[in-house]
Amino acid sequence: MARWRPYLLGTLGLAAITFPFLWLKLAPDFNNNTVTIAWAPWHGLEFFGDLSPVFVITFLIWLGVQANRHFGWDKVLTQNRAWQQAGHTWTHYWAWGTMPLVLSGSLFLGASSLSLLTNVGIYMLLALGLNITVGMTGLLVLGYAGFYGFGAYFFALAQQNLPYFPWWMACPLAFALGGGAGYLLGLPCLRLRGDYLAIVTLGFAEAFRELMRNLSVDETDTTPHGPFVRELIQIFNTSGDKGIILNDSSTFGKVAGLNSGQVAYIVMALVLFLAVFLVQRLFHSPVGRAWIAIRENEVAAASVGVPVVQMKLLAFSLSAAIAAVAGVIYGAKDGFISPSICEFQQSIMILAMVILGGLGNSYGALLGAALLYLVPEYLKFLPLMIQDNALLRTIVPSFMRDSFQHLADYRLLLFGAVMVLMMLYRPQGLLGSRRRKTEMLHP
Amino acid sequence: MRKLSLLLSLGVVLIIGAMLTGCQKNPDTIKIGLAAVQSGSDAQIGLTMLQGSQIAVDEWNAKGGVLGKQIETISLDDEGNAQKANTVAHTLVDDGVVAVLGHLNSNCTIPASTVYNDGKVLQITPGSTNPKYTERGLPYAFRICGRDDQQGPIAGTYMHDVLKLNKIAILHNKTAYGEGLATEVKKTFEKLGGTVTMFQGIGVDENDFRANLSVIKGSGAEGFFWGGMYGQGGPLCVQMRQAGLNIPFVSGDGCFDQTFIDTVGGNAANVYLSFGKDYHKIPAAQPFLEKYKAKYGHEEGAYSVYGYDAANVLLTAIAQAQTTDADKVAAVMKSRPFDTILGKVEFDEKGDVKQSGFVIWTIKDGKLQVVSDSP
Amino acid sequence: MSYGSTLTEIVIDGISRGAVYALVALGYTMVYGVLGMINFAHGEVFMIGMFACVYAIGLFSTIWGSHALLNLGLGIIVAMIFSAAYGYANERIAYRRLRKAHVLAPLTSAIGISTFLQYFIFLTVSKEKVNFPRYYSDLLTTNRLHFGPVEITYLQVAIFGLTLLIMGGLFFLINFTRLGIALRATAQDQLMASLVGIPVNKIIAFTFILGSALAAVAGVMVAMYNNVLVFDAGYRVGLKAFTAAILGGIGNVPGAVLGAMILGLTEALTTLQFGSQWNDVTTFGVLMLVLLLRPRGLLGERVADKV
Repeated sequence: MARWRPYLLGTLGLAAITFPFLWLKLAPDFNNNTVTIAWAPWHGLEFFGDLSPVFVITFLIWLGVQANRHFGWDKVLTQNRAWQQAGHTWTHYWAWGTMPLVLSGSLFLGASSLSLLTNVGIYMLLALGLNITVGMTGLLVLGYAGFYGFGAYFFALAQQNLPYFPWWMACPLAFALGGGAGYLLGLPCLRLRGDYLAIVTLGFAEAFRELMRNLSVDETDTTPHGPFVRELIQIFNTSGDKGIILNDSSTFGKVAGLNSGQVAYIVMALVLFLAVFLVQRLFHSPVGRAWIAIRENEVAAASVGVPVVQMKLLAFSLSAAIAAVAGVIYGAKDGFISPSICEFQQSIMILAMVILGGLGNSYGALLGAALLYLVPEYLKFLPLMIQDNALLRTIVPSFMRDSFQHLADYRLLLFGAVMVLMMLYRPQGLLGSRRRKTEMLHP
Repeated sequence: MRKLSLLLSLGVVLIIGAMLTGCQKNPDTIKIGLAAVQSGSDAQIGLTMLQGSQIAVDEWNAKGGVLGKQIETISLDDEGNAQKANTVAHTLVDDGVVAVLGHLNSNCTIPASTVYNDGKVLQITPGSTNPKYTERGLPYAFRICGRDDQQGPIAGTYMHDVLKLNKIAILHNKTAYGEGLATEVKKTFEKLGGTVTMFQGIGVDENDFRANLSVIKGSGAEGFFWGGMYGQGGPLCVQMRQAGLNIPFVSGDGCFDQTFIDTVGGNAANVYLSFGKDYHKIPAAQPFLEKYKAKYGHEEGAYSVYGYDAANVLLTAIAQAQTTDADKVAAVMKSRPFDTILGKVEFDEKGDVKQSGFVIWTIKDGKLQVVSDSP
Repeated sequence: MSYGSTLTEIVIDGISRGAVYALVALGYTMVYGVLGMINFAHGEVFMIGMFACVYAIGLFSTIWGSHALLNLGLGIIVAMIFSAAYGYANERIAYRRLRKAHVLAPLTSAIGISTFLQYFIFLTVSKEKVNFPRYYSDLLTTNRLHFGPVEITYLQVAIFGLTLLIMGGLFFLINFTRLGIALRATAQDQLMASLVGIPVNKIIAFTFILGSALAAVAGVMVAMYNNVLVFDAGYRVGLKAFTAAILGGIGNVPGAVLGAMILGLTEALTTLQFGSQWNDVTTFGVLMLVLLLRPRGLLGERVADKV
């Protein structure tokens, strides 16, 4: 009993402090120009009801993990000599197998699936890039979406001013410019302590977003812009919140009988493979080992001869460059750029993906991106599947079926919870090792 | 090696998910997209607008649908954000909708319309008033409300001729709608001989207007126009009154919502909004209003009637064209007048309605009421 | 009205903003001083304080009608209690286990809990803006003192006065009481402090509670000033307050106040000169400049060095 006491007290405390928000409702009182309180128990029940699929899924996963620990189901596979051999071969040659599979998917998947997978691809690329600084080098970057926006706006503004600027011209230029921007931002900032770097990058992302929002031409505006700002606006007219609609010549067009959705998918897949190849080669090289050394203990790394500043700058520039390329691809695919792509919400999503998958593990980043993006999307289809199947219709209560629709609203709530829980109980992420956990919790 | 099994199980989950997305929805329905802002600070206008459309769709479905098939609505939220609206537009086009009713914010409608036109999906917006939407020569873009170059002059003329103001200050929220409307008001007001002492834009997530109000006070303005939505218009008006600026507060249809009245108070004085005609006085509107109240439990929103009309016009045109092909339906829409609650609706070459009138409303006894009928 | 009186009004507005940022920045600075980490979720307890106050006022209005100052005063106290509770909960849940971990862990955990709280309020209270009951805010904002052509509302006086009071109280607490000695000892060296008998966990919890209560007061003031409550108000104010804390020197109480005042005035003057849309750009420009040129802040930071 004594062992449970702190948990009991904790739960009671949490219930007490969330009580008014969950179970009461504000009702305006117009006669007295004030507010009154009303009971709203269904409100709290609705909240928990909408979250019930999450609880159920978590419970099922926990059950599965416990059962596996007890029965040792994975030992059947992992201790089988033949599977181990196969797994070994697989890890060396997996790219040869998956690449044709993924590329051929463009031919037989429908338009909405292709669009979904292309979006996942963009997030995978972003997570991969962020993983380089946060996971491999241990530099927390909170404004990653700023570089993403940088690439996208570079593409949008350039194609607005130049007569012909297609995406395949923009990609390498964005890579170079993004890297340059990362280098320039990193130069003064990398000597700052970890938390300061995080805030500076966040500040950069927010300042960039506001700058893009404000650089919109408006002849009738009487705010006293200086002549320099007017010059700036002439070239860099971003139309602020109204956004830039990209020309057809710059976005993905029809090529060799494939429509633009398929072209986007194929380009995304190729770029992703290239990026993974690049990053993994760097990771399994002295550069990667230098990054890990810096992550573990910067002073010790410097003392054994690792060029700390240059390695940090390399990580920073590379991840900024990757984000910029992702920005160009997004612009080419969607055809519309507005300042909200560099919002803090985006940075948080990408950070959550990297953390979920595993800090320092490229494939973990890809997996985290896939899970965090696709699972809410798949859950939207679940009600239809349940509806069509009579057995499931009886098992799954109706309130849970309705809640799947609303679950998308709860996405960020769950991301926050995932981040906290992952840091507390599994900081190495899904694909991390337990040694990594020890490294993180007891440096 | 537990990692391998984890990876395997996750892979299985993802593949099952991928197969799920492949499973096609019911092909025997005609899909119509409903897209507007349904969450965030402008949610009420968008939500109620789509609810109006839903009532029309339900009525048609009860009568057997259109072209012999039931109508299925896919309702998506664009959060009032242009980027999200673009994504929503791509999703709807990929899902194979034949037409879209939406969006509400002109800032969202304009980029979304590019996507719909590329995907050959007909679009009718019940509430976007920015002229640029129909000025770009898109064949499938229609609107059933008026335009800001009709609305702005009404407000500008009212402020100059009726309220007898000589100097006004204008703030807008830098979106297509807000800035566009504010610019129209400025042009009209200056053409009539008044002076605009301040014309500035503020971001959509700005909540603290004190510094702006100090500048307004300093500029000696006798009146104020807000180009934007009620989410900021309400607090702005309240802060104005609290700062002691009791000058007339004028705004457009973006502030036309019950939430605005709740914020500024039921007996707020000197508040004027420009909006379309008063549909409460039209007898044809009563059955719709009652049905709306019965289904959703609260009064209709500013654009619910427009949403209803837009849906009816769309479905009538599809029924007459006997096909869902966007070209033919668009041709039908431009060819004949339609009977709606708000009167006869006829589309011109650009997709605008030929006649529309805006009038000035004010707050009296906790409700919005028409104050003058100057067209 | 002349430019002079507009300028004076803007300056007064800037000072009020600065006072609000100061109250929140104190929370950041104290936690950084004691634990060496940025409490990213501090902005959220600010926001929760605002909402708790409105709920409290609603409750009291329902129970015994609307008596202005009584309800408001009780509302502020309830807001402080709620914020303190949330601050304590944050510390216990998200930070305690990760105190000795790699710097990435508590920061990420803080971001996670900040997002969680923001969207919790978004989903449970309202997805739109909530209005602060006008009866109370009108009382404090429409009554004003006049100094020549310049008017100062009661609210601005209250903000400034409260901030001065709290600043003085905090200064007294840290420098002249035993609790203050314990705080400073824990900030200097946690291990040694626990060895000499200071209950380190309780002191750290107290730091969070104190900072959160201050943020709640700031929250209620901002809510009355703007008359609207939004779920992401905490994020915006939090970022600016953190900038202010860094500007003045993190870990440094007078530094936080100085930085906040400078930041508030910069914002107000930017609105006057360039329009309010440039506020965020200037704020972050100032942040980046400070961090590049003088990372220790204006008054120098006071925090134990982590090798």
